[in-house]
Amino acid sequence: MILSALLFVYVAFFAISYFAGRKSPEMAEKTAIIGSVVALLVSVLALAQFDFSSKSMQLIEEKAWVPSLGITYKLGVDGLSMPMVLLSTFLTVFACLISKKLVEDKKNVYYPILMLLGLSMIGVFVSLDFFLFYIFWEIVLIFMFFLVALWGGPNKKYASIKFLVYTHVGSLIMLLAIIGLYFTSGKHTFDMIALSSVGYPLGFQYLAFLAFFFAFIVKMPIFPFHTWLPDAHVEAPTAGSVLLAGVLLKMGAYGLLRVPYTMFPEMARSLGPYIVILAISSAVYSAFVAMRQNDLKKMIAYSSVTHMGLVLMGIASLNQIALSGAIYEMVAHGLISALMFTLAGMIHHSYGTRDIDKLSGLAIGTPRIGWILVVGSLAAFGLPTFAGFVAEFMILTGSYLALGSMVLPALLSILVTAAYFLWMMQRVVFSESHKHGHDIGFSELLPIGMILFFIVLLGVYPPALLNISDALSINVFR
Amino acid sequence: MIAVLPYLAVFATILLTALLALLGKDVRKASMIGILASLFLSVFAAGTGGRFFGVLFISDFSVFFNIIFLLSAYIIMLFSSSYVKHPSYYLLIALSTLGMMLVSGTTNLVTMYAALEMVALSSYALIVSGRSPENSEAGIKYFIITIFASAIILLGMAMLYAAGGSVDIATMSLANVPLALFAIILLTAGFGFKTGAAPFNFWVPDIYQGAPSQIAGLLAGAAKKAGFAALFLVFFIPFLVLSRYWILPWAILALATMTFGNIVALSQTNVKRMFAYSIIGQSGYIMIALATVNKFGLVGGLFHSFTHAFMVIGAFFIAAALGMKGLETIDDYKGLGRRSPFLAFSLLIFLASLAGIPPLAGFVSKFILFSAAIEAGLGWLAVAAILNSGISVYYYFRLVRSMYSDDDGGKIDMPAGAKTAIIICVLLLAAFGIFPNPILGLAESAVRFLGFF
Repeated sequence: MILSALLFVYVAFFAISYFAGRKSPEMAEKTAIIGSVVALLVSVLALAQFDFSSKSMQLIEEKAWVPSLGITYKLGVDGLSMPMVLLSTFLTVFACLISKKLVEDKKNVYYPILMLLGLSMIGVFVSLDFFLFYIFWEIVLIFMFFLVALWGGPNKKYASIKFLVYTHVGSLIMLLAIIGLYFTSGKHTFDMIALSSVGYPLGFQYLAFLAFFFAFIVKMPIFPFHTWLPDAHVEAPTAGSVLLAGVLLKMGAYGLLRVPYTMFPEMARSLGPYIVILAISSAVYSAFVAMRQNDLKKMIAYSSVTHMGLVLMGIASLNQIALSGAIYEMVAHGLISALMFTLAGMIHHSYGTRDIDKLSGLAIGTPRIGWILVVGSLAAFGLPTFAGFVAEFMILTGSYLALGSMVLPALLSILVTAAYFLWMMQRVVFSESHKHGHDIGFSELLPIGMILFFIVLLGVYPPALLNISDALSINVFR
Repeated sequence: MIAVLPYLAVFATILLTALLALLGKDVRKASMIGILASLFLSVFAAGTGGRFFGVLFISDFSVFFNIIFLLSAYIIMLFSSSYVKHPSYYLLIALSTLGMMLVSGTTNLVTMYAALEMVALSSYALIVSGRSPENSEAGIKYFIITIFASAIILLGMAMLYAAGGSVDIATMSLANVPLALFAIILLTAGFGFKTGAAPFNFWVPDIYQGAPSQIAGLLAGAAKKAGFAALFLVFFIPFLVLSRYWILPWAILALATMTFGNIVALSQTNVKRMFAYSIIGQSGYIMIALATVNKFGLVGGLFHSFTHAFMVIGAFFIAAALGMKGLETIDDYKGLGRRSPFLAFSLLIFLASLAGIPPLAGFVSKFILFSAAIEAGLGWLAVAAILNSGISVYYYFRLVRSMYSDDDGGKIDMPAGAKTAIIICVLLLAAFGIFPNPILGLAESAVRFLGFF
């Protein structure tokens, strides 16, 4: 029941926030913050009920929905989705809190949409029926479209529709694969667990794997299907970027693990090395492109592509350590990119620009922002004591064990990432100050402090996450 | 006996409306109550059926389509009641509804033809009822094209009669195959005109753009579905044995129709015209039912007929309301989110449903249709359908984006009747998107009547 309760919290607070918003925009904001905190508490409650030693789906709820089509309302979590649920609820709270200062316009619509986005993100991670999964997957796109189109930057018209159409086409291809699964399995159900236990003919596996793979690498994104990301991120409002980078990109990785890597193991094995090469190429390419960027937000956006390339490498190596590392990176990057995009938003708010060549001397002008930017950048390129290091270490170790020295070029992406973040810090934070901006106050320090806490916690105490993610129901070594 | 009551109710409504008109009283409430009564009787009569008066053959198939026709008529009357008082308008809507119900409730070719003519005749008058030059032009175009189409249909039906030896499609047996094939060609063309199949659909955008918007809704939402009802009856009963001849041609027609509609819609700036082309595209999806001839295909085709009716009627209502304020192009709709949050949100729901975004009803019907194409092994058709769906998202959300962009304009208010009509459409799409079971169940029993399962 707890998972449905979690979904219900977001639905209820969407309604509450909307109707409160008709009284005053501030009420919409307050009720949304309360709602997101309640949801976070419910997800922690779910964690309390979580069995860390189980290797199968847990907290399952099931109800018949459209029996004539084999569709059920089915929810559940395992070691892969539980961290994602926690990340999602946490980042929704975070997004609501940082929007206080950054969003002034149309608050009475903004906060309800955030609630709905929270709902749809959780829905993707807990759905165990393909039809239900697809519904949540699609509505995530719609709500993010609205966030960008209504509260976005100067080029929001173009970016919002590009994002929508691009990722929607990927989703439609996934839909075909889902329908194909329904018929080929002979089981006439959309239940993910039931469909995972069927052995599929190789010809179909090939097509289905590629279809799902395409849909998910568009979402992650992986070169060459990443071109929607820089525009969407740059134009999205800060909270939109936080959730986009923090959660939505992870949905691609989640889907990849949950569907093709679970259901088509033969394909995963035979295509593995090629996918690793693709992942490394994407990571290295995007790292170099990031180095060229002058817009801070675009730089961080490309760094997201790099990190998701490493996640893909971890997944595709078919090694237990690398896989744990990939899940770790999904959480770590979720937190770190949320922090970085928030900082970019605050810098824009304080200084009116995000251009690296126009910003300088943040350590003096706005020391809080400046120093947190330093810490965030260190975490972003995987410095030890921060979560990213643990993740990248595990990914690289595991994939080296599985595939040998062919994975070493991935180190280049990490090196280049470190280079451009350090260079950016030198230019932006540690240069002579030309400008003064207003620094951030307690209301922003609170969420940032929370996120920094978890980034450091996961950097020095990996079992905090590994205990959860080890309860994985996916076994790629069939 | 119960099964024929809805028909009698509509007939009584027509008489009552005519009587009230002669007495100079307001016909709106009476006609709406009559249609509503007929709707309830139809739902009540689901599961019953039978032959009546020698020409009617009422079944769950009829019930399914009758519900679409009656509900459409009711909400169009409800919407119009805020704007139109003239009694002949309501009389004509009731007449066309009776015609549509007769199309779905018969297996007799002569009755079917007469009923289709009844629909067409009422539609001409309704199209020109706005008395503007655009209305008249659209009316004349419709008149000429439907006369042509009716002639082709009549010739095809005559050939079918000759080939089958009976005027009743349920009792004929096709002895003469070449003649039957010729009949198939003619009826495909004739019904192709009525349902807007490529390449017979060139009249559609002009007529929908020129007609009064809510009548365009009636044409696209209800009258077109009557055409589909006739199409399904004729192809799935007598022509089923010859399906190997017409499945591939219909698959190609479906492909051509959806592609033509969606691609041309991309370049439209006039909202009504964009809707018109998108409706052509959507008809292409319904034709997948004829390309696949399996249970999913038929159920999907019927379900999509249902959902499409209300998406399109709702969208045209909003076009009507805004058209009265002189707002006609995509740019005119800028800032609708502020000017009328109600209209903007409702139009968002209609556009999202048309685009096939879950959890709305339009998604469920598209889902079933895509499944049908895959099950029938027509992977290429499924891929084409989803690519078309992807294209349609672009032009639908281009309008959404315009609606929610910033603009300062005056507030737009809606009269109560019109508002209620729009709300009903929104609720239908949301409710049956999340809980499609009732409609699915009815569609499945309708399909059983056609001989599947």
